[in-house]
Amino acid sequence: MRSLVSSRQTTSFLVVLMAGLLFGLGLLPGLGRCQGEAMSERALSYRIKAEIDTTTWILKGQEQVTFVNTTDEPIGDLLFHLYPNCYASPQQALGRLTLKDRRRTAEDVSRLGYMRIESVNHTGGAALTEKPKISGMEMTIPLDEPLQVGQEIALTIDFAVKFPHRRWATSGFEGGHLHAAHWYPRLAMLENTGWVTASPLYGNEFFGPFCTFDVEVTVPAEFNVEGTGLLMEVAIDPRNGLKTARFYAEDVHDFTWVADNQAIISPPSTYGKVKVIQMTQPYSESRANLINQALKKGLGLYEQWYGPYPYERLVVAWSPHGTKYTREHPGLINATLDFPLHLKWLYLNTVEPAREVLDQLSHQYFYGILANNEAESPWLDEGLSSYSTALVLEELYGSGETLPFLQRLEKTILFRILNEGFGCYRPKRQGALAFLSRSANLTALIGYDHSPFHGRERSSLLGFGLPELDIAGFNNSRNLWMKEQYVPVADNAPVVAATNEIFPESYLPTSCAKAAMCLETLENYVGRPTMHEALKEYAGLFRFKHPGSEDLLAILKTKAGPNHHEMIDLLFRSNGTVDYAVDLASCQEIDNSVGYELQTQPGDAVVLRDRTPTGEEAKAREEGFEKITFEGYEWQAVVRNHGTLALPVTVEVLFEGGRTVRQEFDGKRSFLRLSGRSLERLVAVTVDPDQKVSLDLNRINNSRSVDYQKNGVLFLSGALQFWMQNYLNGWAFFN
Amino acid sequence: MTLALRAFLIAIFATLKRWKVVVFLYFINLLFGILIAWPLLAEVARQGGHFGAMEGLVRAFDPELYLDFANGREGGLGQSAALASLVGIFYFLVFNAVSGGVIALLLNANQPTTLKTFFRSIGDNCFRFFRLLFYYVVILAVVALINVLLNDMICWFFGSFLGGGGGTVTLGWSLLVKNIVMLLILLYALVSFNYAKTSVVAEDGHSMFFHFFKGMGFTASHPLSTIPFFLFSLIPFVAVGYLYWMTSRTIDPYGSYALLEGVVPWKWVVSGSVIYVIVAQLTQFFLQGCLVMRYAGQVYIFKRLMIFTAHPDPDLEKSIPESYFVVDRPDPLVENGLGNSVEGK
Repeated sequence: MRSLVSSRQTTSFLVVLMAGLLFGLGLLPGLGRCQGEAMSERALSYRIKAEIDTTTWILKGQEQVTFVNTTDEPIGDLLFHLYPNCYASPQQALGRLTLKDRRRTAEDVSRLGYMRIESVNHTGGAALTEKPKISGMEMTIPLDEPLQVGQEIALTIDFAVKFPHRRWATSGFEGGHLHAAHWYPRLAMLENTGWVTASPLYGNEFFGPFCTFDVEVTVPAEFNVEGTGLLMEVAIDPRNGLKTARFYAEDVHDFTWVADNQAIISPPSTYGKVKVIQMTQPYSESRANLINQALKKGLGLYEQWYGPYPYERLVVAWSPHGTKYTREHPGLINATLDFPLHLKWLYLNTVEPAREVLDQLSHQYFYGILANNEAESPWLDEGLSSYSTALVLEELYGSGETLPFLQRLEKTILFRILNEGFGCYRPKRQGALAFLSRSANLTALIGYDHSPFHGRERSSLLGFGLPELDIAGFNNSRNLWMKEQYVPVADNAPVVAATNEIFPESYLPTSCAKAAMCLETLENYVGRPTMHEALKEYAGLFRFKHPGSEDLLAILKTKAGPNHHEMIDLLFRSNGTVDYAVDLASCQEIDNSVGYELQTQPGDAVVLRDRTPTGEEAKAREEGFEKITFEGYEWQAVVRNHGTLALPVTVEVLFEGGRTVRQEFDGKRSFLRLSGRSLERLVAVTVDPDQKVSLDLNRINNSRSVDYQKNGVLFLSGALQFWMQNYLNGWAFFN
Repeated sequence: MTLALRAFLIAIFATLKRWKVVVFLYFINLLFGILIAWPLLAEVARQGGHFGAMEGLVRAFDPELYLDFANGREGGLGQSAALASLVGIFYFLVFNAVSGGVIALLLNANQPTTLKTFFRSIGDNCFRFFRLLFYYVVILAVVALINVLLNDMICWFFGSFLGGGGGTVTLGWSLLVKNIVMLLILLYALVSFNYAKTSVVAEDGHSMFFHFFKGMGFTASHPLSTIPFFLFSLIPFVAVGYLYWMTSRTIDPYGSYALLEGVVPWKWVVSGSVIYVIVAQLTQFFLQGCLVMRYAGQVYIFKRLMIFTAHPDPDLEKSIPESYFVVDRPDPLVENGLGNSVEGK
């Protein structure tokens, strides 16, 4: 199989080489340096030549930057991001690293990384008057003269990058694989207010101007290379055995490339105008078709919802087995797997990593094409992507498998035992409790605290995490993972908060989960078509324009109508929570058989009513019908919002026989009291019966029955007790 | 192998004869189970007692409600899991002590099954078994340590040495083979521990170090009896589990069991929930029976191979109380003095 693919690859390589030679000679002008219709401002262009030494993973490169000042003011300096410097020490490590990872990093300094600027000159050779200043991840280049509005400047920067190890970095090498992201001196975003300096240290994504890239990377000949944009030319120099690949990309804000000495380039699949190229690993060849299918459907849906994908190529670059996911990159999707593929049934029963790939496809739109300032409004990328991914997954794989309680419970228990061992709970704090809990954890005893497959902390009895076998099952219900993340940080920050305004460690739960749940709640109120219409307009209007929160909120308000303006503000601008509950539901039989009959007008007598059953009534009583004087029921219910977010909800009152009565509650008052008389007995009261408020912190208290649910409680308790006894049987078995 | 099969059949009858022991173990299991489950049961009653959509939840599991339940509990489910860990370890120790009584009763078939004899046997062997447990835990720890080292070695070899993702399939198979080997070692340790216990009770031993290694030696020298019997003893566990699996699926907690309603005067007794609880607890009862059966079979194998073959002196044989285990015909090979070669049958 591999040789077959290799031969195909060689053929396609020759074709590309021929094409490269032809347009190099000017024989194919249309295929030359593509100057397609500009979709973005294109005030910036890079021409980079780089060569990597795959023994030291040090890259040496030269970058020619051409920049036009398109702001309203002249500027006196240029600001470049030197992102690889964040890997210079464990303390500076970029992204979501745990303390443990940092310690491990410190053990092996050679696996850290940096960027070294060799020289900065004007293109053409003239030296700068004043030397650039480098401070950590930023380089400021003072200009000899202010760059006037509309004026162009061209600089040449010689640089070197030492790539870190991918185990703790989102860019770097692992074995014979290199993921080169944010690897070149990158000009910061210039706005009318000045340079945007916010660096993605809080975990948020990168932000930069749209530009063009003309990049040549040189690697050893045995490496396959893929990257953002069009692959224009691949050539091997027989003298030194090096391969040079040239890429050209327009209207993208970043350029990422991947090189691998084991990767296989699968035959491309075409969906409309988009060509999907998969650079698979030997372990993932069997997944290529699945990913192609998912992307095909995903691209179709996104085109329908958010407009066409604007680039000709989309590259799926598989990382070595078990490597953690990278950040998002324009035109390039990263895929990897955690679990081993030697067990066929395992991967036949899962669609992993389709979910992650589809999520990254969403980011192609919101991060890649709309490209908002991630430090300022991270939710515009993260939240919209999470929301869209959930929708795509629902369309592709269904909204969730409905299983009887026991079946699901047992499946979950088995899953947890295999994936976490007995004693699933591992307290974060140290001490006797933690020690005992750990002692009782079979995984810890077996020694699979760290997966043998990738060395990261992931306890599993098997040494690897079983994938979520049913993508539409327990762990994948549309908003379950969102709710899991959202509830602990529900009131920490509003959705529109900037990254540095979000409570520490709640960046992702707020920007992804909370934002997606707010969008889902809004969708439940305004309807999915309206929501799609709004988002399509947003995605169409602000393509390549770096939108902000207000842009999206304005469109949402316009499409949703004035009735929903207040709700939209509440959902996205406030950090309130919502927890509707039925605090009281009671029902009493009305007994009018004994009592005083009150007067209806002055002078009337007050008569003692003491009805003695006679005739049929007495007979009925003898037969067991005690309350022959039945005249209906008196019931009452109290609905309360235990949160602070006043969203309008419906309250449903259910009577015996199935009759229901609905009433609206605006949620602004502290509670709603409902009462009345009815011929039927009250069964239950439910607030938000249509489950519109996805943000509701607790749905169990949304419904209250008048009668005690002894049947259900007994059943659940019985199942719980049964499995607790089985847990003890596990201990006894090993005795 | 034949001996293992015979032990399996005899163990069934021995367990039936000692049904009171099974009842005792069942109640211990039930009580400890309630101890762990109590906070959660109270929580189910508190949160779910008046939950209006209970019927829907029971019929079709809603994972979001499970999440809400966990979030709704003060301190989450973590405290219950910590409690379960503590009680689990305590139960392990208690069961270790109780197994002394079980083995003693199984060894002395003439002894009646009374609480007095049972507790006396537990008392006689309790501390010896704890000392024996120490060696067992040490062995487990060593196995775990070897496992960790092997993990690291294999991962280093396939990860760093072979490089990148190229070796992951080989890595997967290597770890699988290693896991099977480790499982066999674990199984060997467990079986040895059980024979060591039997040996301690049978010979009124005092040196636990000696008896633990004697148990290991016994298991190693009779692998065709000890290991197959252990595997046979898993069959009832699987069978009981399967029966539960099949039966519980047919029960609808809110279902109507009209046929049964005609038999009993109280409707609630034949409600789906009650029927489910009865099925679940019957399963637990049979699982305790399976545990006793395992001990019974091991005691039989030990007696057959150790006492009568190691000490063929007829006087000594007479001194051993007559047991229902030896009412079957004496083994001709043993009679001919071939001792341990019964494996070859």
